[in-house]
Amino acid sequence: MIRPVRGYFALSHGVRCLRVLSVSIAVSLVVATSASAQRADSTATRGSSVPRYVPQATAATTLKPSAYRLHLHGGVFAPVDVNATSPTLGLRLGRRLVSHVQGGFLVGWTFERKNLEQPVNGLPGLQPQRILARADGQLVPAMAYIQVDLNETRFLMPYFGIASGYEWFNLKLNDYRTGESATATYANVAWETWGGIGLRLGRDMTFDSELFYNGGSLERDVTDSSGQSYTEAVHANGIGARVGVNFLF
Amino acid sequence: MRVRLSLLLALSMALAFRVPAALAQTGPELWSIQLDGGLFVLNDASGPTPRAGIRYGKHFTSHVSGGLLTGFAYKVSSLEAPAAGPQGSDSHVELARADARMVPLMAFMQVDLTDRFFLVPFVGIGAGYEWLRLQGTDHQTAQESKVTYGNLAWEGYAGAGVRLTRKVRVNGELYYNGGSLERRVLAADGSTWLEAVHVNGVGARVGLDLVFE
Repeated sequence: MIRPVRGYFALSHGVRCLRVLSVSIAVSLVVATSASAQRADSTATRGSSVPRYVPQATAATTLKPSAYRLHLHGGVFAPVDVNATSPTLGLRLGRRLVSHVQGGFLVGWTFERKNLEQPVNGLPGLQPQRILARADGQLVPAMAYIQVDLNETRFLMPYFGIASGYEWFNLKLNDYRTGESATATYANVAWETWGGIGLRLGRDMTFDSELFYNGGSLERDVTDSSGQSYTEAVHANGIGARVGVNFLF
Repeated sequence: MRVRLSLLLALSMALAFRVPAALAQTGPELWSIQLDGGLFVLNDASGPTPRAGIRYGKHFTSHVSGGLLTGFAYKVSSLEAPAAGPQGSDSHVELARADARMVPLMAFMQVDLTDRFFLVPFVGIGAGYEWLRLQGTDHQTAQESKVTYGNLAWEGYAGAGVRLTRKVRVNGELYYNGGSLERRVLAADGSTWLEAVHVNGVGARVGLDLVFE
């Protein structure tokens, strides 16, 4: 579970490392694609007998590239500050702006639940647990993005993207022993970057696998019982992996 | 509720923006049914559990299919003590026994990574509801209990299929089931509390996948 903390923090060493890692992934993808393109050109001049993948879209030269993209994905997200790997779902809806570049909007939903539990009885096998307290955390980004597809015609399509926008984190706490409950919502500007590879399944569909990094310090203003105000923050920095289907239409 | 909302949002956006793959499929309407069997190992309990299941779905494109899946897993656990008798005998007395039956009912979406080759890798994800019926018998106190837990749950799977004919293939896959099934318990003092059984675990299954029009 993502923990709320008070005050301002400088970026940790781990976060800086992850940023460098993200940039490295992007650079390696660019290099890999350039190498692939060069190799493809050189084999073409030698007249290689290996059959090359020709997508239907490029084979039919009269067809225009599809203008819109809808990317539905799911995966896991692991915050840097705590050990709480969480399932995540999301979608990106975009439009092809120019060759190799698309832009649009993305939304997502990451959910994590933690219980405080106590074993109930001594029956063998599955052990029921009494739930003493529960914390539910939900992270929702809504961002504008730009994605660069490093090629648009080959079977393997490396890509990377970056997004920026707003992010909300809703924290709901229940203590069933005392009957107390509390809800808090944190929000702030946040960003996301990703890099991955798409596997072309047909003229208008790819299967994508990607790594992503989410960065943000989501905040809320709190006034305590003495009337003093302060800012409370939740660090939503973390790395994740997801797979998805990308529809071109 | 939120999961349903996300799925509805995704579906409505697909339809609103007229994704061809979401609306139509080229050629005849294809359906498939997979009958599978295998083993499931819960993280919180020892020993594998036999499991059987069905996936029934429609092919939206040559690579994407979706539909409903269900299954049945059965696990018996017993508490035993050595029986009194001649030394060396291996008999035991059963002191308590618990029978667990787990039934998922989920919507799934599956992506076949190729539609041309003999070997077909695929991945899929399912989300829906899962029930656990737990029946306990304590032979020492002659007490019996029957309780049912239920909650939203999910499943992810990946595997490879061997194409036997154009319409029949054998699939082997690994899967992960995730869920915390719950029930409300009324205490003697009138208060209620939540009781949960975690059904997170991994499994392996082999299935026969039949495609029909």
